[in-house]
Amino acid sequence: MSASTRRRAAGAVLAAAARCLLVLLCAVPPLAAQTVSGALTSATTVSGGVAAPGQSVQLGADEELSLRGSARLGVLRFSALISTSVSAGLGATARWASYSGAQTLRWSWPAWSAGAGGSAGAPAPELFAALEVKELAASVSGELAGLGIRAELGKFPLKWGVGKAFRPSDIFGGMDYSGLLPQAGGTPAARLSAFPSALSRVEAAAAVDGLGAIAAGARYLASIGDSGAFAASAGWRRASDAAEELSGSIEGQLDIGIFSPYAEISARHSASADYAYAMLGSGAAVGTFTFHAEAQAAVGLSSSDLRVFSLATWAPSELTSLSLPILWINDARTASGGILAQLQGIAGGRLDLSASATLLFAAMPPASVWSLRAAWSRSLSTY
Amino acid sequence: MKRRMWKAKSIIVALLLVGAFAASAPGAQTANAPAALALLEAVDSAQQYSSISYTGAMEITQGSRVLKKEYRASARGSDHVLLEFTNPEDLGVRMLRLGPSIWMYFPSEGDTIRISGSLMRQGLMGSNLSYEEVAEGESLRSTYSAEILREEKLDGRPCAVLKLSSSKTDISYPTRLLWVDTDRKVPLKIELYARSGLLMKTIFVRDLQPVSGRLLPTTIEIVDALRKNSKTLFSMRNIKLDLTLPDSLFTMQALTR
Repeated sequence: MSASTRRRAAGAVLAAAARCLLVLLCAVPPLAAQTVSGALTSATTVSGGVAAPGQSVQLGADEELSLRGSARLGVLRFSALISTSVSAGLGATARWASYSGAQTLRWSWPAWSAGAGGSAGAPAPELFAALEVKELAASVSGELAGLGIRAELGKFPLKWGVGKAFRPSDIFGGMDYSGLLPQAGGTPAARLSAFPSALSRVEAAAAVDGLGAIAAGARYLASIGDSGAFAASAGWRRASDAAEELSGSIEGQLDIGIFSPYAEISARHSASADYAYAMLGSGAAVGTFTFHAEAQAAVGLSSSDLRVFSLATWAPSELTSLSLPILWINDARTASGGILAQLQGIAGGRLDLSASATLLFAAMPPASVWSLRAAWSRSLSTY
Repeated sequence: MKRRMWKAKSIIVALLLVGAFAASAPGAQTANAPAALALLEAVDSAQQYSSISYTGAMEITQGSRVLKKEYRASARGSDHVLLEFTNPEDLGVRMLRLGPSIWMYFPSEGDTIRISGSLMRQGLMGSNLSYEEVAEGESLRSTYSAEILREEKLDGRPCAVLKLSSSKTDISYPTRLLWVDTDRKVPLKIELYARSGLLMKTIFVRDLQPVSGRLLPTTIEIVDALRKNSKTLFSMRNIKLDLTLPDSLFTMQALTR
């Protein structure tokens, strides 16, 4: 048996085993908890396009099975989101490109590795199988001296900031721009929250990523009357190269007619530099059209690190939408844009369809890659 | 101990009680305005309760497509509402309304989002009920004047057709027509009009059930008049009225639990 065949066989076995695990988890009788809920969903994507400049057109497919569940036992709550995927061709290339060393609780075949000589610059495999624990957390809620409190531990989404694409206030993790729309994932963290009023929250949190970077900070979030919200935060972060940085941030959003402007400013101090990041954005809606635009820039660095993101959406009905996201990163001289059509509520509401076209353009040197994707997701079972 | 009484609004009942809010409207000046106000007062009294909890379902239809969602709802007074969606696609998504402020929580992203003014006209979770309509509260009490236009039968029931009008410029629907069942004191149909006079939405009460001595609309349908075959059917079950719902249920802590 050749090495290639052995690798394919091992990947197929890993994928099959992971899928069996998720299906078996669905069959486990609900715990003796007050509230148990779970959902198994499947998402399939077929794609075609050019993965790198100069390459020929490639086809691909990706299939992901996700199990989300939660259970409540008195003041305790447990939550989990586990997914397994198998991808080939352009689908494998897309997943390979979305991986980073900062991600955690994720296993794949072939194994993805960070660092020098790692997988980041290596060509993507033809076949890629992965298992990821996207969320696995426990929390306890209660009252202390009349104050609502909550403690959380595990891997869970931890996001600060109000931006859709840029969140300079967020010291815990970067956004993933490999997809058509920016996304943020879960991170191993601990968080203690207090709720001094109905619409305010004070939290202290600490997190670590897969590269060993550690971040800790505190944040206060509150509403401003009926027409806005603001937050202030302070944090400390030690990167994987042991460089330390302190930050202080404020963020806010307001309603002004059809516009909803929002902004973040984050001042940073390290041994080598004092600088700041500012983000300004706004949402607007007219009829069936909504529009978001935001820009982020640095002050005090050798580069302004200017980034611009816009998202225009036309929703002719509540279940149909057409979106056009555009992302420009000035330092890299790259722009990516696309068009995304989504249809929800097919087959009795259990099936969603989407189709997208993506173009990534680099100005220096001029090059472009593109892809077309069609995807459908469906709910398989729930309890 | 004096019991605090609020007028609760479930998401379903919210739109149907709009007429009742006009009961104390100062602008009612037509000849039959007193009769209109008396009828609305009767509707108001028939559906008065301090709080409500129920299991709800939405069936959103857009053309040939149908999307089904389920949720648990708790509401106290006219401006405290907490929804938690339980269907698999939206498991754990929650909505908190405190006064005119609406906050959403999306567990997959760990994000607490305030629904900004620019998004208020979008449908709640894809339904034909907008966030703006969800956020409307008892401020409507002083918004509309009322008059009885005529009496007619609707689905065999004797109804008074009431017209609610407002000259305010910052409201969703300056004119509303209500078909109120004069025997049972419940609205059976509501038409919502834009300032131009264009019919925007029609709300039909599809089912009424006795709950704790009151006759409540438990299934309603919101039909978009501007889009062909665009409608949402809301239904309620396991309805409990006048529960003790603590302040802690309507907080950011409950929203993000």
